[in-house]
Amino acid sequence: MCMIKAGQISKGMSLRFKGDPYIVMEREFVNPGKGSAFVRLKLKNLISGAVIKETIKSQDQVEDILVETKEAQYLYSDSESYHFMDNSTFEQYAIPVEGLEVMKNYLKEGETYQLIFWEDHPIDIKLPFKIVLSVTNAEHAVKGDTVSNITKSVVTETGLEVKVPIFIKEGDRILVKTETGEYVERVN
Amino acid sequence: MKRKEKMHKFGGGIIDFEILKKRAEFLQLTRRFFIEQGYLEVETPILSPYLIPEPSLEIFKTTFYIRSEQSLECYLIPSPELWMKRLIAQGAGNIFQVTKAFRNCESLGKLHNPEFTLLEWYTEGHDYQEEIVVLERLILFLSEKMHAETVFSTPFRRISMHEAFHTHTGVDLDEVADEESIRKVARHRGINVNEDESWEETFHKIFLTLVEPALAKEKTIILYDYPEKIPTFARTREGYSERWELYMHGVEIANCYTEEMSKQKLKHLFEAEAQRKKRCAVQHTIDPSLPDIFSDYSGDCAGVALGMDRLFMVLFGFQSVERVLPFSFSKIF
Repeated sequence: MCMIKAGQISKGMSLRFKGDPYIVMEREFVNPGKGSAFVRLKLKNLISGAVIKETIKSQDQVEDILVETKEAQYLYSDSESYHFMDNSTFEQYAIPVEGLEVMKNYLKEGETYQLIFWEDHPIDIKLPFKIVLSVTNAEHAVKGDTVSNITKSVVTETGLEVKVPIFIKEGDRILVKTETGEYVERVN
Repeated sequence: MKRKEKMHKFGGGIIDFEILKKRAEFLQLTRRFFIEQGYLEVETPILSPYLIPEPSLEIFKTTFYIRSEQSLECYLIPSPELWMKRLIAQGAGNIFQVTKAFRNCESLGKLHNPEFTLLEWYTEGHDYQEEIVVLERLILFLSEKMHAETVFSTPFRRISMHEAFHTHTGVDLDEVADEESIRKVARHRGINVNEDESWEETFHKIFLTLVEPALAKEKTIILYDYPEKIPTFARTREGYSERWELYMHGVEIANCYTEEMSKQKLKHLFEAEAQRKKRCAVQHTIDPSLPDIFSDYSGDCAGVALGMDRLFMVLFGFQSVERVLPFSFSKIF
């Protein structure tokens, strides 16, 4: 058993909490001025899929559990699941969309992704830190930050809207941070 | 030079010069505001041989070498409080400072950067309520001069912790004064608490789960009069600390105390906090004399600490402090 302090928890980590396995969807450090330090967590139950919010002391001990990752090709999605296929065994996996709605912004058909397995069940998609997306619509001008009107909004191939510098045009390929949906750079 | 080469050469991201210029103006106007109000700008050590024991903060430790064989442990300040209070105690009058402060083990990006810009000011003769007026004037001055995205009106909404707690939990704080009864409140609302948790820890769990998130819809709100059981250097009165926090769109921006001056109370607090500090990852030498410094001081004094990166972020509608720093920690490490 591997016990860690709650302050060391990071996003994407898997934990046992109140007996059940969970994956950390969000982790935010909170220090309410004085007194104790806390960690605010958004956790997804790896069995039921239920999402819970918990605030725990950063000094508390939690159990870090092991999960397995496998590569698989993204096929398509329907209203309930994202469908993937293991390229070596041709086995197909369905991962529930619930709680992972934001993933659709970063999934491109035919591309390979890392899937997370808990006791042989696929339960989550591990996105790369940054991903390349093509700009499909650069006409959609939206007011940017008030400091600098040097940004505008564009739509990418997955439907994700991204704030970019004004020189970005339709057909450009841009690097986007998957955690925040922020523009990083042009990669033409 | 291509953008990619540029990123490699200079480290971190591409600099947004518009933000850089706006940030400079923001800092200059802040200084102008305080200078025009008669405050003295001061500079105090960032590298310190000792600190105030604050169990909720983790710090950075480093070493000063007197000679290669002789060294001295020192610490980067998490706040300039210990030095600014020494200036106040010796009669400096109203003072302000814009400084770098350092906090370890906090999450990166959205609301935190290990190295950040802190504005701290102290006003003699003021209590915490009077400092709200200074804060309101400062924010109005900055937002008007800089044409901020949000338009503010004063006075800012003020709510006591007692009222906020009652509104969002239905519980009268005065009636849950012991550990068992506040634990019951938490459990009743599905919040996980352990038997070994203190009143303050359980209170904060309830506050962070039910009260603080509800403040996000307020453009500005001042939460005042915190329970005395949360240890701070604020003066106490009838079970409450003379303390407030400013939240803007749910982001904690500033805090204020009427400073506690009683040597006995400060000494007691120092001892208790030094004990709790032992649970922290990084230990430090405890400030040996702060509880004594106000023994010859008479009158009130209140101090405010304000996170400048966060205020800039909120005034101009940015989503993270990382966006407003030319070289944020996550870009350079």
